[in-house]
Amino acid sequence: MIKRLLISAALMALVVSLLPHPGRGSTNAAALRIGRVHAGYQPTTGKLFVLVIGNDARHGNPNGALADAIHLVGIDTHTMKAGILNFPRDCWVNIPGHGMGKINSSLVAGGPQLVARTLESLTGIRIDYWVMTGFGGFYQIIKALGKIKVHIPRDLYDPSGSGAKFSAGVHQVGPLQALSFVRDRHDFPNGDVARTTNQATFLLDLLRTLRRDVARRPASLLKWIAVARRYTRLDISLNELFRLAILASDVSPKDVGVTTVNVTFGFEGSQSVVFISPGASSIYSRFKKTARL
Amino acid sequence: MNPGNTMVVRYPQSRHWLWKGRRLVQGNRTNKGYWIGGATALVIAVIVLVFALLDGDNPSGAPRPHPTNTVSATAPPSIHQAKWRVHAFPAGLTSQATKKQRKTAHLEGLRAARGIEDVYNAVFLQPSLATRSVRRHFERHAARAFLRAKTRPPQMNRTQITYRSMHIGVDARTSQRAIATVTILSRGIRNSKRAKIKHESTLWLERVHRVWKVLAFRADQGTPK
Repeated sequence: MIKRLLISAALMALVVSLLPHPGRGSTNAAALRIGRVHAGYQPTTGKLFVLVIGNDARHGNPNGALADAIHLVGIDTHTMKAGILNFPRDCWVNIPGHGMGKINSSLVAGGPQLVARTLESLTGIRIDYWVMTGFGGFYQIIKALGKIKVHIPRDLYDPSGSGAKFSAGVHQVGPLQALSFVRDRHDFPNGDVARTTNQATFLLDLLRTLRRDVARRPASLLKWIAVARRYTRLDISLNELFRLAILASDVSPKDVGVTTVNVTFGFEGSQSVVFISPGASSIYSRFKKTARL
Repeated sequence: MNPGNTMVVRYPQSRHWLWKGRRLVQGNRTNKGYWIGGATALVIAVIVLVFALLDGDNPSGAPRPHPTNTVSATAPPSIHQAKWRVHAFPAGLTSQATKKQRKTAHLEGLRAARGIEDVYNAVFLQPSLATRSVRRHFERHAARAFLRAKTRPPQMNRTQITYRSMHIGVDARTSQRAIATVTILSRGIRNSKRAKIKHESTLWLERVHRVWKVLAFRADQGTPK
């Protein structure tokens, strides 16, 4: 009898452990994740750098995803001005420990930590946190937050690709429409480069929405944190997340500069790649010094 | 708020404020029961003595003034100070709050409110106590920034607080984080002229064990329209 009870309890425990835990987020690459790049390091210059990665993980391809959106966000905590430096996914760079390759393949090779280290090696900037999401995490977060007001730079129509269908201007978009906007590259002559810039524009629109919510009702910041916590796998403590959220809510979008690194198109073997212009090093050093663009 | 007189102060810009620990120092427990008993008896005796002495000053047993209306150099006792209007509610929910969450948020919100009331009572009515109160209820770096930023109202005579309210949203899931908005309207005499002040601030708080501390703030202060 006792033996049966013990076996039943063990089986139940096994079943429960396999169930997804509400509030912890999915463990697959499609979910939103936030982590620290360096475990014991604390920034000492008043500058904070956060790497934002969007991967192409989705149903049918939950893991082994490529980093298709790469943005380095810098915040000067003294002046509360910020900058977003964008990197097209096909940048041909040195990936530490793996030789030269496209920057988006560093995610497959070593996860978000390797993406961060690749950028650190490229720019000379020490990165403090990384935030990564796939299609699923993006969809869930935007759905939980409600409609976002997005600035569309031009008429977009890409039914067979991203599904984007917008006229130029400001639109209130739900999660599917937001996803289609940030994925669209076929409507732009320079493809992925323009898409990368649009993704930064979307980040600013998200920030604008956050600030509008917080200005109307300061306690709504806790709702944003709750949404992040519910659909996120946190590799940082809630205390740190709270502080980062306070910081983010105090940055005005008009104080955020956005720059995409200058690139030239080319080939490396049979791969279509982009080469970062040598002049980008001056952008890196200015960004490192001021966290602004 | 008259924009010409508005002062905006941001939360502390210390380089390390994001990572400073907040653990309380816990003292060593003693197993010696007679020490505890003796200490308790001593405390009771002191309390009885204090009450006896105070009753000597107030033989009629008249009710004491509300702590918010205590005598201060800037606010004589004859001036009535507005009562605090405190509203604590559960925040950070993506669905309806449960009864337990509402109750917990209310209790923790009131607990946090006590500290904030203490700070603003001192800042507006008892400036000599402001520094001690701020250091007690603010995290170290936030306290330093608050005191340096001089968010205290200008010195006035016959200060009267005509309105003061606080709305505190407490994180419904953990009850360890809260965001409070404080609004205070006051008036008094400054440089022989009537002066009015409107103070609005947002405070971000965190609870460690049972103690709420402000870890960041934003304050706007100026002349109301």
